[in-house]
Amino acid sequence: MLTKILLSHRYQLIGWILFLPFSTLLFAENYLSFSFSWLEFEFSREDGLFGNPMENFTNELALIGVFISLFLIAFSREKEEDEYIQKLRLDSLLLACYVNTFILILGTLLFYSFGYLEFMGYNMFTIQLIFIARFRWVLYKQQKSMLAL
Amino acid sequence: MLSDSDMRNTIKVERAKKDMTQQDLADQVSVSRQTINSIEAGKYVPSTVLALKIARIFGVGLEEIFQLEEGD
Repeated sequence: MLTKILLSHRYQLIGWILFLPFSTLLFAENYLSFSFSWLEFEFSREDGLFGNPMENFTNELALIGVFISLFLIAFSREKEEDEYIQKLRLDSLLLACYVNTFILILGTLLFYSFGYLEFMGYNMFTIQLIFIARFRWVLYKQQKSMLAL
Repeated sequence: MLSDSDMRNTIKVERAKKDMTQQDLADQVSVSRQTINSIEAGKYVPSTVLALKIARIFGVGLEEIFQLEEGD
């Protein structure tokens, strides 16, 4: 059963709580050149391209934080996780993969050079985001149609 | 592949006979109310296990509740 590989329900809330600060940090780091000075270490990944051995890991922290929070949101069990919810889950995952492929092709045609790099950067999140949006939307619609009865 | 409307069911009728709500039935077969709602609406075809559980609650045979649509 799929339930065995899902996280317990409480991680969903933790995911939502973590998502906002980490995504804010990611945007701040990318567009406002914000960085934590305590995350600066001596570390050379490719020796001395710019001659500065210090490397700041704010970007890495923000990216990993966003990945983990999206993971927690997407793959925590629902309060009542049953076979129908699991079907919705799998349908949404499939749809997310389809849309991701489509966006990938479109982006490859439209962007190049640094624009393409930036596009691919955002594209890392599309599967998780589309999955979460579609799954939540269907559950929400279901709830609403049931309340209307 | 089974499409959404290949199977019809009489869950709603059976529920009415027993004076049960969707929530009552859902609780007895340990699924969410959404699931029962979707099965009744013909939007979801339940697994064999769930179908058997539902039939047992109503005390009737499986085929009295679930039938293939004509033309299959």
